Amino acid sequence: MKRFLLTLDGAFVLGLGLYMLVLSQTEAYAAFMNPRFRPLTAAGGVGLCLAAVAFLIRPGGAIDVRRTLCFAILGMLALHAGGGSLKGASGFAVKPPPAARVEPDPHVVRDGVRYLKSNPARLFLSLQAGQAAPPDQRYITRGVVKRSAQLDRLGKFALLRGNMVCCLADAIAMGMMVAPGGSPGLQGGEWVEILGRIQPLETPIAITDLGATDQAPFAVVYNQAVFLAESIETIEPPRFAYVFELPTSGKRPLQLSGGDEDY
Amino acid sequence: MSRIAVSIVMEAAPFLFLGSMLSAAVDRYVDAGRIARRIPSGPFGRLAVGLLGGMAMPICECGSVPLARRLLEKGVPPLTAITYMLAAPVINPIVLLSTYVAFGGNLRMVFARAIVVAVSAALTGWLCGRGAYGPQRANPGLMAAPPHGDQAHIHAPHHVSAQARAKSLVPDLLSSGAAEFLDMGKYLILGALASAAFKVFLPWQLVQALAGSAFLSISVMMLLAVLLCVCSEADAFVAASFVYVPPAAQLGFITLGAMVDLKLMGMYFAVFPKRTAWVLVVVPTVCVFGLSWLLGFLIEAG
Repeated sequence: MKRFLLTLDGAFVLGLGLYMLVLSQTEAYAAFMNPRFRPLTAAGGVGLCLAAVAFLIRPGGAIDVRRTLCFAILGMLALHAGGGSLKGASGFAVKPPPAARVEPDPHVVRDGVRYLKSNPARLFLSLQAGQAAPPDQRYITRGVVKRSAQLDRLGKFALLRGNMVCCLADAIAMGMMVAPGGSPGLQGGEWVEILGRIQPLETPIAITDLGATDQAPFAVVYNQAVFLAESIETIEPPRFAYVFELPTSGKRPLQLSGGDEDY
Repeated sequence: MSRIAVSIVMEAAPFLFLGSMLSAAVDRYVDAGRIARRIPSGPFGRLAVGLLGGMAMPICECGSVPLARRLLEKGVPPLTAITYMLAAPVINPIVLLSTYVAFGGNLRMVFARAIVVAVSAALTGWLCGRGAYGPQRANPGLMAAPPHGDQAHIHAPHHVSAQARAKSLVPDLLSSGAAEFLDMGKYLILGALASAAFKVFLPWQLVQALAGSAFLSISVMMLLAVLLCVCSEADAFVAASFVYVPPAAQLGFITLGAMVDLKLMGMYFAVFPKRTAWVLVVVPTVCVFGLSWLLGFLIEAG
């Protein structure tokens, strides 16, 4: 019995190592962790595999049924979590080589007007870092609509995008309050593409009733500016629900770190 | 919820594995007493070694527990080992730099974070050294026993060649590391499950409403730090996103989480005597609350 349980323990560690190693090489990784940590997860996976093989050959220590049970539960959770909620059939497709990626243009021209691509989380972080948006700067941004009683009273809605720093545990949906102009009412949970500009508010508005979105259980909007929408278009949800934004100094030119879909 | 739990385990597993391997290496190759003899005998020297150890050998909070328990086993004074265990996940260049970036270059927040953690870790280490640690051994029942035949390896008889011993060195170390990882991994998984459940079912609107009060906001953010189990490298970015709470509450979040959270509490109560585990939970919590309140409002005033 002891040998059996220790073998099972070793097999679970091996399974965890293999899961980390395989997941780190797939696009589905972005539904669990920030892709910049792929090498760390892969290295951890390799280490765990080696340690598990050594443990299976020379098992040691006391048995602990609760420990075995915990790892069994983790195995079931991993099976349930699978490839995350990525859209498209290639949840576990190996990511393309860096050479195949083309640096996307950070601007889009619509009706002769240049719009800077920026996702709602990046707008939030840059404004929060004190990088004031130039009054004549036009933006194109995509996100999920979130409505709340407070925002409804103000005639606005929140445009959000789930932002992950390390892993899903720290994901927060962040974005902007949007003044929709003459656009028809939108439903919460709808994905939209909005063109417009940012207008600072004279008095900050604290929105404290946003609650959760599908991407993150906590949502926050920048409270000292509003996004004035010139046009709003409903779109299909993007393939990658999350973005991986960090505050920037604003001194470097904008790069779309997550490819063409991260705005 | 399953994805959140799995992502927490995946994020922490490499660090826990590193800590487990270091712990196994200390257990097998560090002579008991030698390391302790190298540590100064005075309290300030011991404290300095614990704090500077964190800067020199940064390790995530998940990895610091197995390493600290092994250092204690090897005779390292609690003032040094416990201080190291609590301070290392924060007082290191990587985490301090991430704090600087997350708070838009606010150096006051960086210094405040380092000060709060250093003071809390030092006080906790000092209290553990004063007797709260109890018997100067960690819980022996939970020590990962060496693999079969290990004793023959350590006290190798003369007929075992040096070459054979060298050959089994790495597999033995890996096997011990895996055993250590299994011991600690149990608490990581339980903590991740609890954290994922809290994250999904917590009434966030109530949290946001409570965070509106300056005094309550510190308590609320500290509670969140314990419940969410966010890694010390990432928590500054999360805290900076809580734009509605004062800096004192953000400081409470980024200082407590690296010392006390759900997964760490499980590890503390498994590894240390109950009295020590309570000290490890209560003292940092009280220190963080008081110091965050004081320094946070100084940050705001500055």
